[in-house]
Amino acid sequence: MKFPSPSSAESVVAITDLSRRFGPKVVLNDISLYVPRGSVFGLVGENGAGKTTLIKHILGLLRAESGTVRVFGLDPVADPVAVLGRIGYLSEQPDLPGWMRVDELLRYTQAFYPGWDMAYAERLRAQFGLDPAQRLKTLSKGQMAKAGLLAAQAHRPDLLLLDEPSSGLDPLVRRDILEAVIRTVAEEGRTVFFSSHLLEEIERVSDHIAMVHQGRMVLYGALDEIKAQHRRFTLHFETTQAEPPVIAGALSISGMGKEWTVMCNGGRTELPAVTARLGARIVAEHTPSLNEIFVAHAGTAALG
Amino acid sequence: MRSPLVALAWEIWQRGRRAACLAAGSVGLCALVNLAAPESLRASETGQALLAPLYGLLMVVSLLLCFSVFNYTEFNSTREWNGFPYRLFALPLRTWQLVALPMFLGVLSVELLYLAWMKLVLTHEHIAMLEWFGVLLAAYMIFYQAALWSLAGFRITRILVLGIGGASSVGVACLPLFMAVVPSPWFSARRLTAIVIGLAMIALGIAWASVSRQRCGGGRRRSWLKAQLERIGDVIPRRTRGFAGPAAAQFWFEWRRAGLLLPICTALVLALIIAPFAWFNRDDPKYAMYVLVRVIAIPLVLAFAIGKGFIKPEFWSPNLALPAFLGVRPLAAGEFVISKLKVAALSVAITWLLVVGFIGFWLRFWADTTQLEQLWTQFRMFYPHSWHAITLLYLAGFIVLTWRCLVIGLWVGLSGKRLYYIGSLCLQVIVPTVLLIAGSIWSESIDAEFRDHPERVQSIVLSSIGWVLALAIIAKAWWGVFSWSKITSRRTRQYLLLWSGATLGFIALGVLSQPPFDFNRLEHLYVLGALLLVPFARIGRAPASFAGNRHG
Repeated sequence: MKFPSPSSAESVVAITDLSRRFGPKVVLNDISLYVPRGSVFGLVGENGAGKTTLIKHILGLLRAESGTVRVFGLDPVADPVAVLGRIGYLSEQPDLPGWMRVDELLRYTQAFYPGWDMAYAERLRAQFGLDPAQRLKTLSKGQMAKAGLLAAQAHRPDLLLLDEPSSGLDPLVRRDILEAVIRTVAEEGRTVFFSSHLLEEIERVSDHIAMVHQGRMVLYGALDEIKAQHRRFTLHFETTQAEPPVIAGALSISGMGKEWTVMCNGGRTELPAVTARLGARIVAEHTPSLNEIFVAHAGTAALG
Repeated sequence: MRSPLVALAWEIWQRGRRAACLAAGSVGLCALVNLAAPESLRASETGQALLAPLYGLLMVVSLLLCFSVFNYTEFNSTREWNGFPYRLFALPLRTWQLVALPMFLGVLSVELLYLAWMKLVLTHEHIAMLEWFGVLLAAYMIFYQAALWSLAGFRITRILVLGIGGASSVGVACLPLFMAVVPSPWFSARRLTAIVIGLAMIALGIAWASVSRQRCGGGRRRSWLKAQLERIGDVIPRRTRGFAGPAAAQFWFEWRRAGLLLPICTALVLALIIAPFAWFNRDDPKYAMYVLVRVIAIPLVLAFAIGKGFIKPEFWSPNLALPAFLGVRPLAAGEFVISKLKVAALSVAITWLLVVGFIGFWLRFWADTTQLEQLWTQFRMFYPHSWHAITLLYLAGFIVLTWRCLVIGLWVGLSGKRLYYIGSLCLQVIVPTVLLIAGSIWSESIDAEFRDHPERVQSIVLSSIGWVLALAIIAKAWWGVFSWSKITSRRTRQYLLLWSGATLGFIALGVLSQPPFDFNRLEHLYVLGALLLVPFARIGRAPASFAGNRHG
């Protein structure tokens, strides 16, 4: 599937035809992706879809086997210092060194980033309720994620990369993280790229999304446009249908008897005529949630 | 698989099948050789001299492989230890079943392997006390697994216990042989067998109790000593200033991980082993030289051992992959390596200060220096004009060699490739072992050759060493050019300067310390050797290894 691509000058991240194998398993298959400057970009996909592998390519922690990866117009493998100096990164399981204390982590991290804002770091630390003298290994999972976010964010990076930042966290911590992300973006117009399989979370904060399924890109674009393009129709048939109706272009069809639900990507104008030919009428039309869109696309990709 | 025990046995097989196949393959190969070789060759002295080292080496390797198969441990991220597989605690099995199964399979396997060697391969060897060795192997397997599981939370202690146990196991195996020299009932194979079986039963009980405790959430690794150390650490004033730059921050990071380990270990060995030994033998002059040699060797030996961890991206982690925390730091690969080199240098400097301080203190206060003074006088008479320089150069040489032991393997450790890492470890252990075994087996022929044709042997040996050294220098220079070509010229110049300084020191030492009557013209060998001592090519390769690890 080919997707529209903005010019690389507008993109903080530009990935073209990226593929990656781990042994016989194809983890990324011909992925092309552009992250516009100043956007909150959500990467959606089920567990094992290839999200973390994609993020590792952006960080230069994996070398592209085929295709190209450019971050700020640079190759993150060839020039890691220039690229990583402008990125803040929080991984799903922050592998922060447990022997360090919170204040040592901040001072250590500060040394690598000339743009480190100590006042901002201190404000975030107080907001997250982290004790500067506490050893990282004694922090809870939520506190560890907060410490990782603090270290990733306090130098006000041009690109904040969050890999499943809220996985396994309680709703309160999740809200803290998301609020921090939103505030950062809203205040300073910087770029956030984050992956999650929590679609409500992505829907709440992202303005652009990419959907990865089994290493393939199945959906990509501005969230509003994607939601506007997708429609969920409820069809009522005069007679009971033993088999799901066949509707060309439908992403998913579910239901039983006389009531069937059809998810379409575009094609709103053709559907009334198609349903009339099948002996049905449209009784309701909804804007689907991102969750429904994802399930529909994942099902289509699995079949196709 | 209907039975959970069968499923567990299958899992052990799956985990260790390669090692098991290798062990079985070793026996099979030797059995085939044994079958194929003509009877006259197998029975002859020459044939036995040829085959015995091969059989002996492969037998030891296969037994080690068998023990590795039953290293039934997994890393527990919650406890941060490598112990009995934690996930198995959730299985509906009794603890004694969980413990007994791997032990039973381990004992069975090692006994079958031993039997195969005895019945299929070593058919022409007269091996005394077959049963005794069989019992010992089974007991060692139980001790080994008991130590692995019971000491899961005590990493260093476990390494020490396994190391000391492994080293002393050879001595224990030889105990019945003393019966011929000292006819004591304690050396009788029957009594020793009963003791070993009793101890194995106790070890089994300890392992069972430990695993039961771990299953109920016990067996915490946080020891009293560690808690006290952390308390002291909390009291000591901490750094509150920021770092001057990324290099300073990375130096601090590396220093906090492993910088003090060599000085602390050296201090402990000096304080707990050498100092008491020297004190108890303070009136015997012949022990002074003995102690001095060991004190000088300690930093080198410890650096060799600690270096195996130091060359990894993270000293305390069993994982060789670069942690993402370090991988995403905006710091060039070369700078990471340089921070490690600097930490090693500071660590070695502190260590040698301790050693020199200890030697000074010991010689001044309680050593009987009669013999040492004689040797010192002879040394000064031998080198009347250069003894100052030689002494200083020796000290500098030992310091450089200690540093070399810490950093020489960086290119392997930082690569993240377990095969390279294990391979280099094996080479460092197996090659000297094979040479030792070969030397001991052919010692009589070698001695005879030396006795009958001393000049010819000397000439062949010396010229061979010369050629090997020359070829090694050519390879080093070639690889050095290749490995340093991708590093900034500023860093290349800096290291070249250091390398030249240290190498010139070794060359000077080689030239100065040659005997006044150099009949064999060894000077050129010293110079060639000096050119090889300070690492150059391998250090130059380390940043590329690091980058390879960083970028997958």
